[in-house]
Amino acid sequence: MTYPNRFSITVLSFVFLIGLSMNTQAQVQSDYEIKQNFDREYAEVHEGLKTATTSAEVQELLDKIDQMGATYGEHRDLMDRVLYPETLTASMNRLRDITQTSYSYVIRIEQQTGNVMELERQLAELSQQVQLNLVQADSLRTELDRMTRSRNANAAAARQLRDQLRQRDELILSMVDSVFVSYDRLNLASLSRAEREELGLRVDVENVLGHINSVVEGNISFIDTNTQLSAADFLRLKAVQVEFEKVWVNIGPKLAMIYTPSAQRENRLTEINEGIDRWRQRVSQSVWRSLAAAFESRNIEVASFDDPVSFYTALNNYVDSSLSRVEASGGNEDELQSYERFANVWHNDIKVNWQKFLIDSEILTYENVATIDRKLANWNAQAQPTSALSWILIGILGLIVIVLIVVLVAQRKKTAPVKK
Amino acid sequence: MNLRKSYRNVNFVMMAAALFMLSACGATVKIQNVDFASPIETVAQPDSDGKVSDPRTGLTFNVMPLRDFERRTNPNLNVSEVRFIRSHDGFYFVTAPGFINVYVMQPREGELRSVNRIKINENGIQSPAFNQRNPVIQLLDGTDRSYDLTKDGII
Repeated sequence: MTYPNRFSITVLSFVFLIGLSMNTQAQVQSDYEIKQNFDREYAEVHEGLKTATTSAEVQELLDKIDQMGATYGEHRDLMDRVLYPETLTASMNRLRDITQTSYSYVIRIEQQTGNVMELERQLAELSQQVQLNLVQADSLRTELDRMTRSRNANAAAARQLRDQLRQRDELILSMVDSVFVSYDRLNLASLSRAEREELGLRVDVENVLGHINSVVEGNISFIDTNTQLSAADFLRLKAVQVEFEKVWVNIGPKLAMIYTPSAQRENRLTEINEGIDRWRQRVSQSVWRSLAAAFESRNIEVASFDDPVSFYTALNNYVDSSLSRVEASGGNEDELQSYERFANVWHNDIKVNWQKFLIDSEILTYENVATIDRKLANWNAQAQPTSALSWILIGILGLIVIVLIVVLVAQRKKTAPVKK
Repeated sequence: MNLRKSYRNVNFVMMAAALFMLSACGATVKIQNVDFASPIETVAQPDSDGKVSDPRTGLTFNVMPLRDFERRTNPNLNVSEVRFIRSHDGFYFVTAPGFINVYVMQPREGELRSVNRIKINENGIQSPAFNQRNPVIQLLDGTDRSYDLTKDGII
């Protein structure tokens, strides 16, 4: 067995003393410095909260708070004394609560930003498709012009154009339903002005209102270049315009509030509102012109109209005057033909092809349609010409009445007293 | 004879009353076992007149007398900050970077009076810091050395 010599003991003692000394050094720390460090780190977290914009940044702050809790927990007695009347636990809990709230808020903002990005992408995609359809419709129109000599080919192209129109309208309505309504569901009202501005900075501002404006301008251009569409086509376009405008009135100012700096907001809104006004005017003019042409081509002379009220008044007056006439002159073949001409348009064109769009476009209401239906039923009954059998029956009835009168007169003569 | 006796009785009653009143006026209330220890030292920058104050306790004093005393051995001494802490028995321990001593000051009516001067380092204390380690005051000198102080000196 070997024992450590004196030198070894001296070295070991020296190492032990150094270790002890270092240990002592590690323990000796100024309370004031600890407090100062705590205050600095606390302020850093607070400052970090003001500038943190991502959940990762806030998560870093939460980690920092955990680290602070561990570090200063070792000096809990001191911290409780110097933080009086608060305690270390209360201070850290408050800081953690504030940070946690910020974390939830940032997460919400990130989700909403994600939603806005996705909506913007959808809007851009739909807008592109609208533009593409416009181009295709233009080429179809050109094709339609080129093929006017061939009726069959013309009809086929017209059918194709109509299909194209329907697809385009469905696309715009789909945009209105999915994109605009989704924007509305973002609950932008709950965000403060600074938050809205912050959210607005993260998306391509021009893309949102720019796409909406391009949809409006595209529709105006489409109407201007496709003047030969049918009344049903124009009514469909009108229904789309009405739906678009209705949604824009609700959502447009909110979109402008988030996507447009306040200085430009009024101008941007005015620009799009003016576009929608022009769109409404153009599509309305085309609707009234095409409807008037449709009645004229069927030899139905209704009074002129240029808005929903005058349109309904014109139809109503036409039916009322026809009804008055037939009531005065009685039913005959001419009246029946007159009735059938109008009824044909009413039942086969208006009710089958136009009614949905007339109602969607807010030109007629269901009550208007029902009123005219009732009057038409009356007109139909009144316009029926009197048949030969009816005349015979009337003649027989007349003869019976005459015979009865003669018999009554004869009997009265027999029973009358003879004057002397 | 009776008159003299009655005078004597009156004098006795008046003296007793006077003694009672004097004893009532001189009555003091004493609270013992008071702990004056402040939880943490105060670090304060003197203004141009040398005045330092602790907003937490309201204590304000002028550090110039201490500086002048220190300048006897270190004429170039400038006082940029003063550190002080109160011990459990109510004495203030005051020093500053560059000071040779820690001054133990006793609060009196309108003054702080030095009751002890504890020499720490002939070359001046580099970065002093006080910790409250009741019943002693711990002094760190910025070189990883620490001293346990009482009003009587280093223990």
